[in-house]
Amino acid sequence: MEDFSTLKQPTGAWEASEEASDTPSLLVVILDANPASWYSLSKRIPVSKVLADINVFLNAHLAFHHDNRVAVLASHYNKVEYLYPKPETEETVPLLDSAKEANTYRKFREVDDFVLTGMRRLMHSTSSISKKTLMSGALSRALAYINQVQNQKYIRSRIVIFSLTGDVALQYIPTMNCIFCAQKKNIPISICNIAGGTLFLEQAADATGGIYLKVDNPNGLLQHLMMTLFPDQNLRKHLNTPNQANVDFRATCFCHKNVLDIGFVCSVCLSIYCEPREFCSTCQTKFTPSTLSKRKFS
Amino acid sequence: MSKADKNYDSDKSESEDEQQNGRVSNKGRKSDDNEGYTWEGEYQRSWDIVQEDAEGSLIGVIAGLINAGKRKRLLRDTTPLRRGIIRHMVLVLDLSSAMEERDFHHKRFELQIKYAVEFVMEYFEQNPISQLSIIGVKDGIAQRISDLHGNPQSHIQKLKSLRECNGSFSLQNALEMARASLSHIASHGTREVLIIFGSIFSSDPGDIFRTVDALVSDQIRVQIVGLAAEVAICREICDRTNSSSTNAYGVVLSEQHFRELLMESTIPPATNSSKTADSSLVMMGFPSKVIEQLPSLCTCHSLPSRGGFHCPRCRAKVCTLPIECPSCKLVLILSTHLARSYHHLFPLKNWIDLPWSAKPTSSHCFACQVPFPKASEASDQDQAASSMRFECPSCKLHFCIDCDIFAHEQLHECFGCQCSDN
Repeated sequence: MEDFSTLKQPTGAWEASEEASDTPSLLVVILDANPASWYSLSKRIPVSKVLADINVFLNAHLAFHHDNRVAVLASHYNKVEYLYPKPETEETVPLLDSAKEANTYRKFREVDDFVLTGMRRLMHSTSSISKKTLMSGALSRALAYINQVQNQKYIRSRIVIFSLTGDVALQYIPTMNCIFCAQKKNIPISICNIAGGTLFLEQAADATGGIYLKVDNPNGLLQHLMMTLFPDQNLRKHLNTPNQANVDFRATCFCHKNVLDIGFVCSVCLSIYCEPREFCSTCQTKFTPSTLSKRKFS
Repeated sequence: MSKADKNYDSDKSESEDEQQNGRVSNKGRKSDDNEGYTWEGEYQRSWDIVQEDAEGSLIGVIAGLINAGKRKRLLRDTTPLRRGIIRHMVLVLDLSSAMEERDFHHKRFELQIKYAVEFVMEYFEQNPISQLSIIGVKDGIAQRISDLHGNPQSHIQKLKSLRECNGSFSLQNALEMARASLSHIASHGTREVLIIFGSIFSSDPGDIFRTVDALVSDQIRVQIVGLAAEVAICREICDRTNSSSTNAYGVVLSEQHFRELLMESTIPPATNSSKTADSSLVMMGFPSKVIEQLPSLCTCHSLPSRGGFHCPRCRAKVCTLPIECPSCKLVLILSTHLARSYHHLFPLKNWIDLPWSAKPTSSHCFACQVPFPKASEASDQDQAASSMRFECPSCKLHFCIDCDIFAHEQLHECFGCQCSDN
């Protein structure tokens, strides 16, 4: 009887992997479109090459399964736009190069055209230099899109963010809300950091089970993307993915912006201070001296 | 002529009947207003709501009913209130023989355990720096099922190991044991008790009103979820211990309502204005993650692990957060745990349901790009009806109903306000 049980096991594994590869998945890509960051990147590598690599990545995802879907958002410094899919009322974008039209698979063509013309339009429409990007807005719109698609029929989803700009401190609370929502809905957020450094997005990848990939040499971007970010949740458990050893979860104090190991938290508004004080500057609560005297910071 | 007379008579009698019916139904409604019982009034025919449209199909009606159900989502009061974020709650489960009744799915006891498990998970998700203790009342005696701590998994394990119900429920014993558990809590945290009360009587050893007095002086708030009927002593306890709100006591109407009443308690309670003197600065540690070459034991469970968090004060290694350091009693948390409670303190404003009379021009939902229904050209379109567009008062952008529910119940952020530069 023991011999028969070993025969059963491989079929079990086969069924599981077949189920995993047969279900379609939705990939939502958020491109950081801050023109100042792209300009400083263009000194190392031409922008067209990076965008071409990203396009190949999108096409590969579409090629992997017939029903795979993709959506692309661009996060500018003062607005967030859907590059793909576009709503029907917008004018159809003219094709870039009609000579290539006949030989390319139509779906790939559409995505490539929309992404490239959209990015070009956004860059041209820049009116001022700014060092920030609306990442929390793009994340929240991506989650709304996934929610709307999943309301009709459940589909496995994930989000990949291409980030070039650093964090905006004001966006901490909205970014955290988006991270908790994605955690609850089992949507991993993976980050491809091409330039700059970002602390909030590291925490996002760690909390939602995504991958944080820092690309040192953008020339090899496509290789990094295909090896690490391309497989989705089900395939990831069979691969060795990079993990984050040192995510910094420490808090910063509200008064001096120092990084803290031990802090004092106001019980009303949860603001963090580095030393005991008489009243909270955020919520104006007065702290009674009797409780303060016990809090000797040794 | 006689026939005509008869017709005339019958017409008159019909109109008289209608008048009489009208009077009867008016009387029924009036007696409702004068605190009559619902069975004394006119009966309601609920099947009249569903009407077929011109082609005899019900699709439009069903869609309308679904949308009306979505819009009836509770519009919560969104004024930013001062809330108790650091909570200490005692959950009291009813393990008396009244829970053997089969009026809910299988038995009341099984439903209670199932919803208690969901409650524990939701409670620690919404309030990560809070603590919970569970007490069960069986045979008139209160027994401690789990102590006051912040680890949801061990609570759930203990809940799942409960098996039998017996005897009667004792409100006083449960409240006294809860009071003893909460007696050593510092003043900046809230002290709450949530009781699931399945029977309609309570067998107490002494004077329960003395216990209620003690609860009021200790500033412990009691909430009760009743499964059978409204009991006067429960109403008294809830009204006296919650001086600000009168909806602390609820009696369930259905299984769904039971779940809703339980989940309402996961929202941090608003603090009374008299309690502002009790707020204080709490010292908390923010450890960083370490990964070690060789495994070592953690101080919380004495289990070997290759990584964990070092307490910043005494360098003891713990494996999960949030936790109180077992060596030096410092509360250890991550900044993400504090961030989970921010949406209670800064709630998202309700969005305005735009009627057709506001002449909206948007064509697609800003967040998910789903197309909105177009204004029809017919002049008989109801101008006061909803155009299924929801406008945020700050950014003036329009969203669909699914994004409205998603933003208010799960995301707690407005998509439009986040996507504009301000």
